[in-house]
Amino acid sequence: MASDRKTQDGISRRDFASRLGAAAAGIAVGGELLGGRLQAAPGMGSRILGANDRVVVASIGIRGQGNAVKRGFAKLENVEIKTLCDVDANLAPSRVNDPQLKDVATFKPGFVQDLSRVLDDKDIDAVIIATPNHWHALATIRGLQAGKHVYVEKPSSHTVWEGRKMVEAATRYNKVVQVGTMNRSRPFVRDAIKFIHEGGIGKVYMARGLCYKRRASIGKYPDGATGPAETYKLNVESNGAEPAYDEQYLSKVDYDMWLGPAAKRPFNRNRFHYNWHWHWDYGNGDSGNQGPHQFDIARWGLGKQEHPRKVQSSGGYFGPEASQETPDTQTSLFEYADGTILEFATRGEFTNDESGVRVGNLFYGTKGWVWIDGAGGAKWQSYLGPKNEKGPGADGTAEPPDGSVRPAVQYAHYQNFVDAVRAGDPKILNCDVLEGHYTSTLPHLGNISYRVGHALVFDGKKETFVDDKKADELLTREYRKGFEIPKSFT
Amino acid sequence: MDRRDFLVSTAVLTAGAAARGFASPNETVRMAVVGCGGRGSSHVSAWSGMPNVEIVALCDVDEAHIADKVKGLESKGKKKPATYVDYRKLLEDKSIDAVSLATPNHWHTLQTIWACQAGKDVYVEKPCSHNIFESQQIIAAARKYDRIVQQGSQSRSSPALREAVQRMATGELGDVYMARGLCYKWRDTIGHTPVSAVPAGVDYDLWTGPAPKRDFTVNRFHYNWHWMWDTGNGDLGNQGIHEVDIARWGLGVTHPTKVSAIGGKFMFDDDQETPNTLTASYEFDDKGVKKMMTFEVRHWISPHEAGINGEKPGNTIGNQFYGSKGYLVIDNYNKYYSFMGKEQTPGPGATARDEHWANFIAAVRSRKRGDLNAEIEEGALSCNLMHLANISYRVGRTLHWDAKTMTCIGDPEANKMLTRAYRAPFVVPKNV
Repeated sequence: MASDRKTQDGISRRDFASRLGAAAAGIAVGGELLGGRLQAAPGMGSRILGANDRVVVASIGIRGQGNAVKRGFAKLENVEIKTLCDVDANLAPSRVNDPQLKDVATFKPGFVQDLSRVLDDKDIDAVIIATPNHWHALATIRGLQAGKHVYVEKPSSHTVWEGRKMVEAATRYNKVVQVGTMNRSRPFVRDAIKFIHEGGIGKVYMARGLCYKRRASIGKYPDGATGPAETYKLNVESNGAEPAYDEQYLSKVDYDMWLGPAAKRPFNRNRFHYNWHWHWDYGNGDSGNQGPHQFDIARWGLGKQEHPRKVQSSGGYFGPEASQETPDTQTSLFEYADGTILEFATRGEFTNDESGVRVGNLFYGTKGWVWIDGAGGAKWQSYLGPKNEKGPGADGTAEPPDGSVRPAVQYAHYQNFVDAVRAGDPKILNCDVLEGHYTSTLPHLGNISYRVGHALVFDGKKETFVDDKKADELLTREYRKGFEIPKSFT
Repeated sequence: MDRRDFLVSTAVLTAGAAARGFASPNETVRMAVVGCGGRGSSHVSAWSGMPNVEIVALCDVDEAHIADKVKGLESKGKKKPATYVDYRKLLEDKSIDAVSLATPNHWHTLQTIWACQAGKDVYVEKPCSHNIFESQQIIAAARKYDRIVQQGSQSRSSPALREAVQRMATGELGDVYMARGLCYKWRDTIGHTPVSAVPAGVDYDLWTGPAPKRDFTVNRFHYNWHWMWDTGNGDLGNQGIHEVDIARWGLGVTHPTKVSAIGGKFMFDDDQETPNTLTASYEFDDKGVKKMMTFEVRHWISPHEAGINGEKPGNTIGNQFYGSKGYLVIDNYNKYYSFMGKEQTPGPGATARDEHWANFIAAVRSRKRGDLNAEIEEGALSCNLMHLANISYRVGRTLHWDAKTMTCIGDPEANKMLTRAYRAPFVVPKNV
């Protein structure tokens, strides 16, 4: 129980020290340790939480987004982050002693490098997964099998197939799984969607998602550690350099575990922190990075609890030579069974905005149109009729409409998860694993169409393409031994 | 007169119709306007306002249109032109130098080919073809008979747009990798119109021309023919073809490798067959370099993009070009502006009206097709992009285009739509 755990902080710290020692000694922390996890009894380690019980969580993946989510959860009332977990032990000191959380008395986490330590810890009620995309499904399913509730970053999955497995696992283990598309809990975005759903712009026949985020070139580097005098920047325009990924640094990185389900290969600095997004083995391009937020809002606004029947995506990488495999410019078109259209534009180079929006959404209806700004989640605006007259909207200055007083609105999404965990009720969730799966499938389908180079017809019931074996292959991946996802949950 | 007679007579005409030499710029160009409805009015007004150009003939299958234009010319103190219902009769007049075609799309190529055969130069409205086969035949006819043939894509003659394209060609925008075309034009429902009697004074058989003969309805006729596949090409082939042409021009590409379009007809239950919302994606291989083009047609409430049309509500007609150094916007027909670098500082821009009519007349006089700003091959190549998007939409899949064979790879259904069944005697010949 959490109350008992209070006295065990030191043990966690010792774990950390020993793990560091193991990594430094070159001892692989491999999948064999975790293999047993898959056979774990369903519901193991779960406890029944009361309305006032402290929810104990662990953060898995703590560098960028994981660090931000960790801060959000740490500030929630009656939530305690017991453990931070990352394959990169170099991150531990700065994340454990986070200056931004120095006033949060309950924030005294331990650190472990090995995920199995988190899964084996019966005190932990829930895990926050902010790993690279290729680990989302595996970590979620292992978490569920270990009896944990799961908050997983977007996109919920790295492929369509494993997204479905997550849905099945959540049902099988009867746990709460929230996907980190936090606009679902942003009061102003909820307002905008409510306005659309109530017919504010008439019948909506088309939605558009925009992901206009300029991304400078990530360059191209040889495999292996950085040399003695070498510095490394995430992109050619980055202000600061990353820590040198030299031999000493890498001795505290479990790169084999980082690779996880992906093919074994030597370390490459561009196939590591953040820039994994631009390599198919781990990421899903910007359509599957920033994109899922706006894909989610588009689908939400259109009211589609289904997959599209048709998808077409074209694009390319038009930046300077780099190791990037994913397109930086991509136009993806989706058609639902009733003909409704979802368009998605991803642009990583110079571009105009659309109605002031660069990251956001547009909805087109018979009576007007709406934009929703995805950057802050506090602005939206409708325009009505042939004279384009301003209708309802929010300009970012108003108080949150539903009485939320939290200073940063994304906390509402974390709070919603914690509420559902306490109640043991996934129905409370603003974006459960099935919603997340429907949304994540959109960029996945777009990317598959882009990669095979033609339009595709999708059978949403079977979650396979119609007469396209080559495209079907991209609905899943080859899982490296020891990192497989179960085909079924019995 | 049946088709064979006509061919014979035009062959005779051709033999005797070596291009008239224009001894001086002051010599009058004798022009005939064919199709005197909405767009035809602009043709009449343009040619009649030019020095040393005389409208010597008018042709329309609707007598009311002709009467209206004759009245207009006379009120301006112009000579009364000869009038024709049957275009083939007009072509027999050897004194006519050029024809100016503002008929429905399904007539454009056939009328152009016949004019070429009769030794006349042609200014033909966009789109110059109704299908891809016609695009090839119209070029072949212009070449075989060595005619001056211009498509009415007037932006090609805007000094401002020419400057914009020139700047892109010389690399001022860096590597231009993507173009976008916008055709957001309000189009209300056309409703349903029942079969009715052909209006008095209308030769509906001639109007129908190459298309299948169908019962007359008001919606199949003036203007709304745009929304029927027999006669029109939807708004992509109506307003949109201007922006398709500009996009292709700015990118400096010819044939696509791939075309995909998705869309639908939303909101209205009416007689329209063509989609009112359509998004097309194109890929090009420009000497080993991949280039992209996206095109969007929307028929209803939609925001502007990239500052096009300013703050005024309403239509959004224009283009964007995306390069490694910045992006450039075409606002309607005659204006461009640009934004450069990370800070998006305003770059070059200009506004200047087109000189498209004058450009045609100048080329008619010089006899150099290189002087044309929208020589028919340029027009036809752009039309092909439009046709391919419509075909992709109709078959519901990506088309892989083979420019060598001018067919869609492995797609017999799509390839069938590259041409049409012509109704005799209105047949675009396989051999021009």
